[in-house]
Amino acid sequence: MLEVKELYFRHQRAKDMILKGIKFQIDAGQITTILGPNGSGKTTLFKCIAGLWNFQKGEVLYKKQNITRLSYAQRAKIFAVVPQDHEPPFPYSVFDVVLMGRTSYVGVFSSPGKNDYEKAEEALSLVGIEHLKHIPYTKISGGERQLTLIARALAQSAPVMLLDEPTSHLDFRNQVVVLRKVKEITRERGLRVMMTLHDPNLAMLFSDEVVVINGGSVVCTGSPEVVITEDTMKKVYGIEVSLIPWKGTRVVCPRIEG
Amino acid sequence: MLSPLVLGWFALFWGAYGITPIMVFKVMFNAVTPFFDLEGNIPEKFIIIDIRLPRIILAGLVGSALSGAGVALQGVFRNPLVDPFILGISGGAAFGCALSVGFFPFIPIPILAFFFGIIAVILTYTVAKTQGEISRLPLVLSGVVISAFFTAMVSMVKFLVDPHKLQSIVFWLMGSFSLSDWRSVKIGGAGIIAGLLPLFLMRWRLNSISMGEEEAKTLGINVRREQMIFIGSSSLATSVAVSVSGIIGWVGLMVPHLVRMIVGPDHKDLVPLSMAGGAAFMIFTDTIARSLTDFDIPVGIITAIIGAPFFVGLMKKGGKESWGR
Amino acid sequence: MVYRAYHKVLIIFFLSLLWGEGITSASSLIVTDKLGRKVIVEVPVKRAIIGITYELIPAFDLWGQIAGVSRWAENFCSLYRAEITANPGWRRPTVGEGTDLNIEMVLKLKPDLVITWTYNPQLITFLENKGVKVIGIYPENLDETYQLIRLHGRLFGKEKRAFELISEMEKVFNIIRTQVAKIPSAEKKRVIYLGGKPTTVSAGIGVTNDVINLIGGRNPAGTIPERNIEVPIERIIAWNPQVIFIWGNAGYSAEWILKSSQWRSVEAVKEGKVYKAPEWSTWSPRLALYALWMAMKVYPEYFRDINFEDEADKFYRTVFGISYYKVKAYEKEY
Repeated sequence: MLEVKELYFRHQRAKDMILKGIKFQIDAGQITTILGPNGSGKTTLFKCIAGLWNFQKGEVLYKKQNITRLSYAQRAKIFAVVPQDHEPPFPYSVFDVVLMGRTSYVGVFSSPGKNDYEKAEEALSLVGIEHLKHIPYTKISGGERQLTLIARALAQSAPVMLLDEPTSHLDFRNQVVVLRKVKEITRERGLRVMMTLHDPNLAMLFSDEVVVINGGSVVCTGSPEVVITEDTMKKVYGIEVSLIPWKGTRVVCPRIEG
Repeated sequence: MLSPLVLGWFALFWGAYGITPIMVFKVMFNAVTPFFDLEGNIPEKFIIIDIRLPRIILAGLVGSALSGAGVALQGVFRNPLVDPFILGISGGAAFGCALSVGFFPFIPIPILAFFFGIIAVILTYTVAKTQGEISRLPLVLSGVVISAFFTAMVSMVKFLVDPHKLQSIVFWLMGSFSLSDWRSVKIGGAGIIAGLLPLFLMRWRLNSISMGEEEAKTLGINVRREQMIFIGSSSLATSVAVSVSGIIGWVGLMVPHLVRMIVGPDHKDLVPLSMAGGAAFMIFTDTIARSLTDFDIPVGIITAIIGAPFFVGLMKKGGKESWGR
Repeated sequence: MVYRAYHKVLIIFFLSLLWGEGITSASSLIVTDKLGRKVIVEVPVKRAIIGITYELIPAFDLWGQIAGVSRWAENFCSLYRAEITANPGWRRPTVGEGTDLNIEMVLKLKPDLVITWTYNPQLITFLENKGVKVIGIYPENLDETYQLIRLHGRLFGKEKRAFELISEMEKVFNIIRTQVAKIPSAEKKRVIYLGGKPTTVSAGIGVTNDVINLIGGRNPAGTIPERNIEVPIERIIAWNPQVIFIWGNAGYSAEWILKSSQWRSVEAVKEGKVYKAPEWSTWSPRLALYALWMAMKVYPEYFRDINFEDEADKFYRTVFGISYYKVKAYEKEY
């Protein structure tokens, strides 16, 4: 179980805290979405949990163990990070990229071994992109790139996966494709997944739990049906919405007046 | 990968003196096990063993040092447009060499060269960082500035130094293998191999590092520490190369590019092939430099003349994708 | 009575014309320098800056007509150092390197003329644009060196002296020529002259090549129409010179070559005939002694009767007005 307790963070020279007392937890096989508008502190929270930024107060525990003092390599065996899509400087093949996930298992003065190659292959097939294996990463679509990064995270064999705005640069189709795949592997591998999203509908469809944050604090936590309400949306996004029930779930629809 | 050895072997047969291939073979064979009857100390023997062989080996070492450093730096800085020369390492090393020859003869040349080579690249990095996230252009510009600075410092040394030492500095800065002997092979070999070894062993990690600092961290790499190892080793190899053969630009930029266009960006293969490619290229160009005319042309000229058009041609064929972005 | 006075004045006047030196009235001279530039100079020159032909200063006794010299005079020229130590009042301000004169200092001294070599043509053009007259020189052989001496004579109003200097030089050269004429063609030795780098060799153009020929040597690089060329060591080994001379200002010693594992198959090295020349300028009357020194090293058997130091001392006293031994004390060994 991943626990985040009372997280406070501010930048070095800043006076005010950006994150104020964030807390939530994620169980195995569960997807937790951090939902909030731009500037709410989602990215900051993400970086703190991923170990990229050091927070001033609070704890992040995995199976009751504090992870802040782990080395990069040790941390990478617990947390697998799927960053937002970006262009790498060199045209690595999809396989090369996925193989990079094995870095924390490969000695500093060594190269990947047979086991590492096998794990990479496994990850590729789990995500369903073996056919892209030898194609340069720079030549595939945005959605396929995101899937590649997810495969890489899988190759890390880490129990926790963190995804940073996985859909922000994707078109409509790929948003669905990617998030569906994430849900699939979460269940199959029993991962603890945290992702940041800003689209409440996607959060509704693909999360087990939602943590709504705004202004650096948690607004509310709970299952999507409970948390995503007209009230919360108005409070956090500042726009009027209607929640329209549809086939067991609800669709968030902005009210566009006159 | 064996190309430098093959090329090196062939290069033994070339030279101003005019030695028959059979003689070359005999001399080399004798060097390993005395078998053929070579009357006394004939000049051919000295030429092959004391002149050509060390020169070829040194050229190979320097070539692989510059290319190896080049490919590593390109990976660390995520930028296919850098090489040890552009980042100022060669300039700093040259300054260290000049200082050592001119004012501090008791400090071995490679040590001062290395010291200032590292300072140069640290300066380049620091200056570039003032622009925020290190992206392509600031890094190259910064390197150019630092390089120019050290070049000016070398001029100052030249101005202040005792005129008789001055010539040593001037001639040896020019980038040439004309005075290669076994001593420089030993010194050069030790330093260059010491520098290239970590690069070779850690080469696969360049893949992850080149994806970005944050990303590399989340993949489990202690970025700060490993960057330092890469930069330090590259600087060591480059500085030692400069201290034995002067400044030879262009190789560290071009060979990794060419190899990358042919075999792809995976550093697992790219690094050793760049090193081998660099060695082969250097041996090839140096052989031309010393055999083409009566003169001993400075090798840097040949590397530019051969390298540039070839490079342009390959770029046109490869198109934009071959650069990555 | 007036008539006789008139005669006397006329005779004195004509006598002074014959004498020539220092009494000639000022006139103009058009000089075409090595770069092909035509320079009009008022002669005799009263304030000159000498970039590289500083050995001519003591030879012509130009101390009163020199405004400045390049640093090389003080750093490299034992002759100049000896002279100015003996006569501190003769010391002149230095204006930078021979290859790179300090423009500001030159302008500050307001010279009538700058005489320097054509190594850096841009410098010459620059000075010209600033209104300074510059004559560029770069003698390619012995004849041009003589011309250079005569030119200095004309520029400074000391033509007669130029004539004297050249005849002193010819005296020494003739000593050499007489002996060399006795050497059969087959016995002429292969001689090379190395420059700043052991692989830089004097080739077909230049004073050193002329000297090698004059002393009865053969320069294997003499067929190449360049001044100095850089060659691979193998080529030198292929030429297999019998005597090797090293430029006096080179940064390496004869011993270095004798001990090098790469040079050992060269005949000159095997015979131990590698010599470093004295640090003398070759564009000077000393060239004659330089040649004699070289000749004596190449063909010692033919010059057994000659005592070099005696000849040198005689020459120095006549040409420079100072003892050879005094100057020798100022020579640095490298």
